[in-house]
Amino acid sequence: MYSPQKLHPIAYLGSVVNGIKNLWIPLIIVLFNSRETLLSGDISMKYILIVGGIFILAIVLFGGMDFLNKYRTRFWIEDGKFIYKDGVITNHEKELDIGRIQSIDFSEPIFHRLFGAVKLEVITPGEGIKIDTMKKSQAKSLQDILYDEKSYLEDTVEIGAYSEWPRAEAETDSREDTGFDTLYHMDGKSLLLMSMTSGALGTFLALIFGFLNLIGANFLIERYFEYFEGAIRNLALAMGLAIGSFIIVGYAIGILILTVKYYGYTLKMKHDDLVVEYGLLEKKHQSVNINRVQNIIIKDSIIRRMIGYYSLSVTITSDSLDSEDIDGTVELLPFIKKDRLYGIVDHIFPNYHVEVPGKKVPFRGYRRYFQIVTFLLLVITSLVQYFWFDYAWIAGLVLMLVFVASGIYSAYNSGYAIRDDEINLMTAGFFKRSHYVIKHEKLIEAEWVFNPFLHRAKLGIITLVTAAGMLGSRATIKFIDRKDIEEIWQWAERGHPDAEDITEGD
Amino acid sequence: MQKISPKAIKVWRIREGIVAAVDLLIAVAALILSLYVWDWFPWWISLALFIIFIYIVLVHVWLLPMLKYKYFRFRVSEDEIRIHQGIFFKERHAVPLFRVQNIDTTVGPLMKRYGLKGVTLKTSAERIHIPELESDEADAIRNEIRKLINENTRRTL
Repeated sequence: MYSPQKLHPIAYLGSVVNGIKNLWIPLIIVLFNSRETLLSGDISMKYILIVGGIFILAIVLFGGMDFLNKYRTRFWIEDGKFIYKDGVITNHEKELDIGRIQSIDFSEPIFHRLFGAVKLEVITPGEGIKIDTMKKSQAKSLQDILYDEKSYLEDTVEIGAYSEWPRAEAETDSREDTGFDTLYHMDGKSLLLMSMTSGALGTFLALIFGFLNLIGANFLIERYFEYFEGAIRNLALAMGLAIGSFIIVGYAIGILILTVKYYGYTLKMKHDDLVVEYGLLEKKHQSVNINRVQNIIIKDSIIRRMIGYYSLSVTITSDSLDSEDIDGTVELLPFIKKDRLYGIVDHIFPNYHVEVPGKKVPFRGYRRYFQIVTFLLLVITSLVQYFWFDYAWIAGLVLMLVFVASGIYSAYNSGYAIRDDEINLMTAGFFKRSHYVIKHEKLIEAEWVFNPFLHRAKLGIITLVTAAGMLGSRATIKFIDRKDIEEIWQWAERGHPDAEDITEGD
Repeated sequence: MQKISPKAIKVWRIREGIVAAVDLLIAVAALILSLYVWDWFPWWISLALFIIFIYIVLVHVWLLPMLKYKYFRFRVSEDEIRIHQGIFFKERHAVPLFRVQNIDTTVGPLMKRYGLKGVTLKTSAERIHIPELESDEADAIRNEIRKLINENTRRTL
């Protein structure tokens, strides 16, 4: 790793595929425009040769640049820096300071796994590096070196900077220097429960409808219903059965997909790095540096809350444009028992005091959580009822009740709690709660919004922004009392209480 | 709380006025086209464009700049910058200065003519824009913020 390394040879195959992928749209346009010539049957050899030749040339040109680029790509570690170099005509060289690395991701899509290749993504607050195909052995040694260098760098800084040597020594003793400390391993039961409670049906539906749309096979759905109608005389029963069996099968497949995706979920810790590993077919490996965490988010949905399982995410910041998940949120624990979650949070983030905020929305704010959506539903339902469908009001009423219930649930659960330099915000939307824990020094912006109605009702909406990805992570509490908003506002700009009345007017 | 330069109203009006003028031109062109050139070209397109023109003149040229100016306030204090804006939906922003990463100033041709400058502050997630300040004031604010940031970061390092 300390000498320049090349990519995995399979990367070249990828560049051919990329070349074809880039030319996909022009190819279709050409084929579409010359469909008459093609379908007429008498295509001259010359025509095929010319068109085919142009395309092969284009593939060679586009793919070839990529090919050369991959051939010239080198990466290595030198002097506490991770260096990546590529470019055909202009050379690019990127240097990442290892001490500044926030997150290291490895993933092994199934295609890569066949050839023992790995995708790598390294993220720092500024730039990031993405290496599409590298050898697994390289990845392994790179990972070891990166973690070790990091801890080495941090240790030297620590000892030199402020801690006295006996303390430093004691600390290294207590730490397991040899390897990773496994904090959590998801067992089969949790995995299954998680898949069952995490919108498995939604996953399946998104997948199947996406696929059907893609190949334009909407008629399959009609055929499906026709089959049931043919088999059973009673129309209502047939429809019910059709939908019922579709849901059951979809749910089962959805569970299967999620189980495969999150198979063997493990959270490990080494020094200041957290490592997450999961996946049966596509293996993912992601690491996060604890010191770079901007905020903590604990999420649940109403079903998971009933069985006492929560999930834990953190956000990190990066300006890297080619990062896949642009929002900078890293899921550490997708599904874990409540008490264990808080135990692990305490262990990982000892400086955070996590507490669940109490409800803070005053009663006059409750209706604001659902009034607009119910009004819209009312308009839509009455339109549909009047013009098209006589029983629309049933669906409308059910939806309205659901939204009112969800609004009340949101209002009931939203709240905040301030403790020293930390704020805990509980926000909710459609039966899902998110508990944000934010430290004052990580806060980027506070935003307070109100309109004349809210002003008269002495309510307001406040958003706290922390850095995450490109856009930032926003935690919004809606419709709480102005006093509460002022308290959060004061906390956000602490040390400078500002009693000045800021209502507008000259 | 500070206000931006009152000349801003004029600049915004001229800017929107240009948009309105372009719209009017297109409307007239559409009318001529539908009357004399293309028979198939419906006449109501020019009417719609004309209505849009009136809307722009009334709302964007006449009303909004006034209100926008009236309700925009900002203040740079020792450790944070605050902005109040919004006509119907009021927004209040507070950004700690030590989170500001860079400060840009923008001058357009119109703004230059009136001696105005805009200041944009970028944090790692948000961007805060103070539009249409007097040029020297904008520079002063930028320098002040820069100074404050430098002081703060030096202190922590």
